Amino acid sequence: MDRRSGNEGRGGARRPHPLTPVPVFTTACPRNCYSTCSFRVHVEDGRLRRIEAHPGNRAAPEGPCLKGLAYVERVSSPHRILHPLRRTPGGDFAPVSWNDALDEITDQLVRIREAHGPQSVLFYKASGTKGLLNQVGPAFWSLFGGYTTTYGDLCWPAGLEASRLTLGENKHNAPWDMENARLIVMWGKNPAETNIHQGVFVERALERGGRLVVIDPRRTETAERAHLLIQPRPGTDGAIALAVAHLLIRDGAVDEHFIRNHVLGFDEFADSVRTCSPEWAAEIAEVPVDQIERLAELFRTTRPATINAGFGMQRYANSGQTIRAMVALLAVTGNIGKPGAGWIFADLQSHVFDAVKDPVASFPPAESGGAARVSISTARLGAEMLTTRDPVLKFAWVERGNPVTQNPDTNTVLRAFRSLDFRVVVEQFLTDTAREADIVLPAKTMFEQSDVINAYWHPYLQLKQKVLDPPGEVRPESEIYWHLADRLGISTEARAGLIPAPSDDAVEAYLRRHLEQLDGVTLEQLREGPVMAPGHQEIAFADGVFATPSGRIELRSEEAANRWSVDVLPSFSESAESVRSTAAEDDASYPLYFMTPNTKNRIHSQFNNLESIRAFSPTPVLHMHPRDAEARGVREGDSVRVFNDRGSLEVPVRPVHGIKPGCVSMSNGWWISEGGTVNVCSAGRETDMGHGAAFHDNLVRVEPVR
Amino acid sequence: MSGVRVQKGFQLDLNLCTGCGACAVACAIENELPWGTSWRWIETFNPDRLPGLPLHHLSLACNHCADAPCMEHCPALAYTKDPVTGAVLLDQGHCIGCKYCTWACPYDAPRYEPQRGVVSKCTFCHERQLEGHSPACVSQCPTGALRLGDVEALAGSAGVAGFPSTEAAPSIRFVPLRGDAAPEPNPWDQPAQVPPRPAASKISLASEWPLVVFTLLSAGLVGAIASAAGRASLSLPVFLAAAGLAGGASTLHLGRKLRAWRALLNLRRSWLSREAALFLVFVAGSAWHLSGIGAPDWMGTASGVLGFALLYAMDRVYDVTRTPGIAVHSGRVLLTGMLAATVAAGATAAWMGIAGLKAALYLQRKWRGGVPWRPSWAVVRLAGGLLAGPALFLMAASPSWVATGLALLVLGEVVDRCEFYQDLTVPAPVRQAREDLTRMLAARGEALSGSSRTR
Repeated sequence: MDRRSGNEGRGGARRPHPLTPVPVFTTACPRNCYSTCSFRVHVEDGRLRRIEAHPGNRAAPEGPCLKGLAYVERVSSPHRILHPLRRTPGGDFAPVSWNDALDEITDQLVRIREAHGPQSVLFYKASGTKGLLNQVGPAFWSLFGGYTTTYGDLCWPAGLEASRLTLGENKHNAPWDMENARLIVMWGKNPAETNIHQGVFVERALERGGRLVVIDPRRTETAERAHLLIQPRPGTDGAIALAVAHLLIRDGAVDEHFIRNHVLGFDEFADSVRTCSPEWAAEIAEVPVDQIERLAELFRTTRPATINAGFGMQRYANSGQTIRAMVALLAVTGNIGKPGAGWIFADLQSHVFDAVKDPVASFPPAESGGAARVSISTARLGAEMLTTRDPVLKFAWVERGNPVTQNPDTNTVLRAFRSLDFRVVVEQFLTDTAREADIVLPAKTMFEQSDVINAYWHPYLQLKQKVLDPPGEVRPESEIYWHLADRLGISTEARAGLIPAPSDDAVEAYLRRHLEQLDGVTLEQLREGPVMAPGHQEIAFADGVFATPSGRIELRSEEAANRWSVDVLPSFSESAESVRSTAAEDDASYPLYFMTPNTKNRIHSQFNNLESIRAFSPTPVLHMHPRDAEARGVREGDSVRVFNDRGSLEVPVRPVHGIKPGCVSMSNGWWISEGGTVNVCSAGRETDMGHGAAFHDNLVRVEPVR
Repeated sequence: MSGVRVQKGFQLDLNLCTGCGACAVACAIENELPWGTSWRWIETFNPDRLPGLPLHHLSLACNHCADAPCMEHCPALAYTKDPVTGAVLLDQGHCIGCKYCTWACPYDAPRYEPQRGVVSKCTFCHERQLEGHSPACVSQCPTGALRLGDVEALAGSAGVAGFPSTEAAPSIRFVPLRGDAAPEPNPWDQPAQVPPRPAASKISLASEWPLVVFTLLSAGLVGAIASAAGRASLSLPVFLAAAGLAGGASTLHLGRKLRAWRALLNLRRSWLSREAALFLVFVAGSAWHLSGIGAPDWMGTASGVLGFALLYAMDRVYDVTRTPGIAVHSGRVLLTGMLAATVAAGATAAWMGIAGLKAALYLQRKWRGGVPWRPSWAVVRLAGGLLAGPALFLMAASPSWVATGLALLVLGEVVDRCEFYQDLTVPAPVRQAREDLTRMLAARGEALSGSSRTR
């Protein structure tokens, strides 16, 4: 952080008593983030004064992360879009009135609907914000007559699907239970940066003598406190898991009672891992054999054990199978359904409003037809936008997302967006995607409209409460849709229950109607603080009920084989982009694994445009092992070109010892306008199951820029 | 500490701190600092993740020392200590912007704001504390790594790698890492070195050149007055012009020049106040002596004595700094003043002795010290200032050669003084971290070669 502080400060004259009582509101952070913090927001003279943690959230009681605090800057950032913007012939943006903007959008929609049919409109949304009101968009586009949209998800489907196939559903022990674990395996997860509040529970477990294993090609912040750090070649975690299973089964270190009662396919699994020796896995993963043996020894001697898998590790083309192998370790050792034990990937117990939960909810429907054409794979967005026919795509509406920066294969995504007749992007800032728009509509922040949100690490339902009026001419999306519906002649009767009228009361009524489905959760309760989702299990699967076809934990899964054409058992194969498979093909043109992890400074492509965050990460930087840097004759600060067949970017390099040789790393989320998105190099490719994006299969070459 | 009822302090648990920086952002929000700035920051120990060595983060701000160096050395008495919390508070209305506290603080807490011409620093959120709240950084830490308590009652160690150890009694305790914290090295790890990434010093010639003018002019004037040749060689107007230039230069680097008078307020503790006061007294006494109007005979001698006291105080100002690897810098003004006085007095043997001493100190610094050689500077300094200059001065017959010799001599002194400011550093966590890391790396190397690694 820049240590110069200057001038009169932002607030003008310093007040004598900074804590003069100001109105305090409860709200909750709707970002795509494990912690989903509860806030107490101090509002002073109509502006955010400070944000504190709401102690009612047991998962994150201490304080919001730096990004949560940075909302104070974000809501009133001078770079925020406060008026509708129209692209000028020169390529810039100029403010335009709401009337003119909505008239033009309506004209385009009507023209395109008449010429090509409603499904030539692409409705694209991503994970930018959570909430029930996110359903308003699809409802509007259905009333419009139809639309095209995406299936799958960039984030987590392979892991969700592998977990669902094995355990029946995606749920896990409450976050605070982790302090009961004696063995914690952070497998490709770096909570110190991505789930900082979990660190408190990990620390408590370690304080009581627990052991921490981190498996990650990088010596991450989380790895600093690990008793064992294993740094595998990316995409080979499955081999390690199978080898550990091999050792546990070979040594009889399994929970036979648990297996007999709850596990399907153990014998076949045991047979299948007979060849998966630690030497085999060590050779594949390029790690010392003794590290694999020590991991098995920890599982043998230490209970209860928890494995917490991250999301990045399951964005490889083989990762559904990898995740199945990891869950199998817990199944054979009986580490499921007990305090301190279990599989932690995603807890969807607070997703109480979803009739069908992810990942199934994001699968393409079995039968086509209906207003929504769910036909474009999120992972292959650019390519499939370009090849979609009958009708072709002509118009895109983007909200809650920044696909140009965040979806795989940026260059194709850009080409696809540029091939359209008209683009509307709803945004708070001029992101890379907003810069592609014909019209940018100003988006609300989390403080400017109420909504009810769920979480995926803790079991709380929360009210993201409105505490400020939208600044400038900002209108929440539901209001934008309301006014568009007026122009398109959609009757108010047709909108009833689907699109709330433009008032706080109408929004509250909308939320109340959804809450009525639940057993005794009211808006009034939520106004006070987070509420546990009705019916959640603090210790997941403690009842021994597994919603799989067999009612057991399925190591053998017919559904996996049938639906995804993978082995019926967990298995390992090299992932789509491996230095071992390409070496044979084209002489190792791209010898480096390009890792693109998340950082504490950002939620994907959000937050790093703020000065208070930028102070910690001023420019993109490529981490590289000193040995690899030396081989290329580059030193700290030198500019390098990172590239493959798909694209190229130039960034300064920083040699660090913590990364495995053969891997390079740059955090994802940087905008093109900030120095380059990592996704120019990534591939539009699905994971082996779940319709996830396998964009971490990403081999590159790095050369100095002379 | 007298007058403080309960000294509050920070406690940082190194096992919990991930260096996320929420504390720094919370500080900026609470104190309404410009975005991207903060009174608190993260210092990371082993940021390059050298194999086998632990990494930890220090969340640092002002430590509200029991015996605060900023407060001791501030010439303007702008610092006070709050009797209730023990907060070290800076009154910006009294700050003259001399930056001396930024040199004196080994923890890098006060920082100079060029736009406002004053220093600013952490207030311990002392108003929040008076209302029963923790400082914002403490209350907002997402892992609870940073806490507040009565410093005497806080568990933990007073020191940790990367934190300068001083006599100031900083009000902070560190809960150390558990013993086995640090991933063990991998087979592919190479012997690592601390990468050469020098931390910028807060003191440099570029920012301190007015002080070169001030100190060298002062030394020259003191030499002239003290040699008793003053009255013969210096006219009052010339003296006053030179003294005015020196004094003017000294105020040039003040952020708030109109408050310069406040520099005289801390005679009891601050060498900077003493320097300022002695400068004024020396100039007044010398001027009276040179004017000849009613000055007693002993005024010349007295002014000379005052002059040397001034030069002594001037050198003592730099007690808060250090030059890596050496005890006495050849650029000290007391030596320069003595050289000037002996040259002016024509005491050849004496000044040759002093020049020799300076040359020896200079060479010793270059051989043994942790400072750069700067070859071209060294040539000017040694060959010009200490060999050719004196030689010409001594042997040349014509006045122009004498003048050239004298000029070379002066040039040598200027170079030395410039190097003095370039070489100075002040203790700071960032520098301490590098030193401690280098030491740990060396120790580990010895341990590794001595025995096989076990876990």
